[in-house]
Parts: sequence; C-alpha cells; structure tokens
Amino acid sequence: MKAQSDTNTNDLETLQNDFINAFFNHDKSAATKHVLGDDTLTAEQRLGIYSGSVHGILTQALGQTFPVCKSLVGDTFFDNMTKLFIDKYPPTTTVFAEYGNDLPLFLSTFDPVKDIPYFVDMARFEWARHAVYHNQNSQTIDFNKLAEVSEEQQALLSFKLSKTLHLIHSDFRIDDIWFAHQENSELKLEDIDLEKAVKLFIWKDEDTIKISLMSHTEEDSAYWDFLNVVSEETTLGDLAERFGEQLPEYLNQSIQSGWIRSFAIN
Amino acid sequence: MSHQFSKNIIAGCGIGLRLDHFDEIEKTRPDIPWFEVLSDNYVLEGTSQRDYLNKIRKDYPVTFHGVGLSIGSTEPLNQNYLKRLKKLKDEVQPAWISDHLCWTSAHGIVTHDLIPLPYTKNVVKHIVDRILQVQDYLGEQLVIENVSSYLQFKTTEMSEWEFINEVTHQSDCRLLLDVNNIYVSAQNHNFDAEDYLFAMPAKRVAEIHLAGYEDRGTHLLDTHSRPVTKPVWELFEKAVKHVGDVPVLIEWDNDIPSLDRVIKESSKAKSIQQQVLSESI
Repeated sequence: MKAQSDTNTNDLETLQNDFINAFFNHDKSAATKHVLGDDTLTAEQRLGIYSGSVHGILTQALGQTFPVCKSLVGDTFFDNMTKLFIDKYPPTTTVFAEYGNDLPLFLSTFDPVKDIPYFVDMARFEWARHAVYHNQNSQTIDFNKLAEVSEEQQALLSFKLSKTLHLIHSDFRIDDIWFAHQENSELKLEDIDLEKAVKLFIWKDEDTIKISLMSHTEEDSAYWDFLNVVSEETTLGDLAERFGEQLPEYLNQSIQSGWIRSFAIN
Repeated sequence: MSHQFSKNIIAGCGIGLRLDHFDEIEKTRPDIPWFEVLSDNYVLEGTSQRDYLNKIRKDYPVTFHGVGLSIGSTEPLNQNYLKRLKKLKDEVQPAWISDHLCWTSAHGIVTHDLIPLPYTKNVVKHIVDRILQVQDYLGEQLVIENVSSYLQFKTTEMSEWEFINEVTHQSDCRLLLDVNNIYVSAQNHNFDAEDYLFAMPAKRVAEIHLAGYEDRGTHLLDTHSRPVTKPVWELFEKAVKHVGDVPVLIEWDNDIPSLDRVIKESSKAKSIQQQVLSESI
C-alpha cells in the first residue's frame, strides 16, 4: 500500500484532526472554522449534530454490552457516564464487539458509582460475558507434543487458557445480581446475600454462555488459584514450584475440560 | 466452499440482516431474495455470529456493507481491517462489498459515524487513489454509497453529485444509490433532490438503499429507525425510472420492528419498482 499523506491532503488531515478534537476533547473552535453556518443552524450547531451522533452511536453500543450496569443506574445516568468514558477511551477499533474493555477500569475511579459497591464488578462480569461470546473458540493443540519438549525447554514452557473462558473473583454475589436483572427472573435483588464473595467461571459451550460457581472448599480454591496463575502465562517451572504434587492432576483436569487449549515455549 | 452456498444472484428487494431477526430467519427461512450483511459485525473469526452468517449464506445470496473502510481518511488504510474483510469475503463470497463515501476514523480513533468530506479536486484525487488500492487488494470493484449530511465545508469546490461522478468515473467503482440520503441532504442543504438524482451515473448503480429518517425540526436525521417516508417513496419512483431494474434494500437499524414489518416495507418497494418498470416498457 502507498503512503497516504502528501501536500494535497494536508488540509484534509488538519480538518479531520480538528473534528476528532471536537468530538472527543470538546474543543470545537478549530473544527467550526471549516464549516458553513446559515440562518437555520450555526456552524457550531451543525458540528454538534455529528458530535451528538458519534456519542449516541457509541453510548448505544455500550448499553448493549453492559445492560445490567445500565439498568442499575438508569438510562440518563448511564448515558452521561459513558459519554465521559468515550471521551477518555475513544474507540480505536472498527469492530463494536471489541469496544468497552476499559469501562471497568474507568469505573474503578469514577466516584459517582461508589454508592453501588458491586458496580465495577458487574461491569467486569458483563464484559467477560460479552468477550467470551465474541472470542474465537481456541483450537486445541495436540498435547502429545509435550513429550517432545526437552528438559531445557520445559523451564520456559507455559500454558494458555481458552479465550472463551474468563475467571472472575468478586466480593459480591454478582452472578445472582445479574440473574435478578434478567427478564422473567424469579430471583429478586432483595433476596440475594449481596456481600457473599464468589469465584466464577464464565465460558462458552457451543453458542451458549455458561456461568459456573466455584465452591469455597480448600481444594477448589487451590484449583482456582492454579487457573489464575496459568492465565498469567507462568512457566511450567514456576507452576511446579507453586503447586508441587497437585500439578499433574490440575494440568490433566484443565486440559480435559478444555480450559487449557495450548502451550508455548517462550 | 462455493458449492455449498446458494447462487449469489442479487435481484429484487432485499433487507438488512439484523441480530434481532436471527432466530426467526433460521427457523422460518422466509422468502427474502437476498440479505445485506453489516460486514464489520462479522469480521471476527470463529465467533458464533460468523457461524450464523455461514449458515444463512447456504440459503441466501448476500452482499457486504461496512462503515470501517474510512475511504476518505488521511490516515493509512487500515491493514488489519482490510485483511479481516478479505478473509470474510473469501469465506462468505458476497456478491459485492459496499462502504461509504465519507470518513469514519482519523488520528487512530474510530468514530463509527459517517462524517462527510469537502468536495474538492484534491479530495477526489485522494479518494480515487484509496479506492484503487482497496479494489486492487480485494480483487473486485468496490461499491460506494452517498451519505446523508448535516454540514457543508467552506472549502467545497463542487456539488456532491459532481464529486460522486468524478470519484466513480476515475476509480471505476460502482455506486450504492441511497435515495433517502439524497432526500435528507437536499432538505438539510436546500438543494433540489432531483438535480442530484438525475446527475447520478445510472449505469454504475449496483444497488438502491431506502430507509426512514427523523425530523428534528431544524434538520432531518438519517436514523434508519422509521418506515420510508412519502417524499422518499416519490423520489424512489424517479430513481427507478433513472437507473432501471437494480436491486433495492430496506435498511432498518434502530427501533427495529418485527421481521414481518421489514418484509412488508420491502414488498412495498418491490411493488413500486415493478409498477415503474412496467410503465417504462
């Protein structure tokens, strides 16, 4: 592909940068100078139609990705909140499904939602459901090839979790809170023990998103920790050091269940 | 893979394939001649939506329609987007790929909206160069759609219809003629929609779009949230007289009604088109 910019497009490049500044930094002064105004609408008002439209499109998309968050705070609050998010984290992808990953991070320092202590975790939960649905089902590699890995390479070997599995730990019963907000749910928010910590698997089975609750037994907690450590692409050497005799069982269990899909030698 | 797909003949009045209608379409396989697919929503590989599209493609002809190309942007063409689009095209084999004569991203930021361009000779040259690159990469003619607009630029040197003629002629691309967009822009900028319509290069028109707008008092907004309005149906009749028998598509993207309601709108377009074509024989 050829390089794009030459002197013929400098004016257009300036115009487009000025528009981006108007949309996301709310500095309309430079962009307005490019636009014709008339008796019906001033240049700034005409530019404002696009600014409103850009935010409207993105706010709507975020509302579809985070419907329970939207329901928890109401439409107006959600729209105003996401407008601030959009300005701070404008999209860099052409695919709507890839936009919104940063919302939980943004909310973690957004004081107006502090009154709902589980709000940030709900955003993490909804993003996890969304990402699991849209992520590609990872191909499972032939684990017999592990036998071909030399001892030297083993120290550098790490495992990869399936992209259609997310692990969520919350100090609140976010799974039940989410279910209580679903249409025709018999579960009521007032009946939920909100401050009960949960460890959740969110995963895709065929086209269905499934949510599994990890029990609080010592054994299950250790397995949960194992999967979390694997998700950080920890090397086999470090896994062996941390999980000792349990490691072969954990590896076997996670490969059989499809949580671990592949390995890499770094 | 082509042997397992239906023949890709795009004719008659189709509708946009929307998530809200997935289940019903899969269960009832309604009598719709073709679907337009919002390609940007399907470029991720191995997803459930992609699987669904491949299932639909077995029974229906499809075209692709996107907003991510940003053909008018001054930043380099998005290689990742093009690569994903080509892979999707090779897999699904649409009859053609369309996008908009505007820009949607700049400075690394994607607006997801259709922002108009100043209509100048330099911009024509810039766009033509990019369309040629895209056509070369995809290995086929691109179909470019005229957009609705709510502002005009001080630096504009020519009318929008002159701009479209220059771009389509110099790049040898085809045209997706959005009749609703012509009407919306004509109302917003106080020009005669028929001047625009009859200046369109009829032989380059691959497809006609129809949709509904909202009247915001000071301007019309192209929301794709309503039935097609009376003045747009009237302009559509004139468009059919001008371009002849080309495929027509109903777009409905917001406040999406039942599948039956969208099909009803499509049937109305078909009826008007057939009436006009029969009168012109």
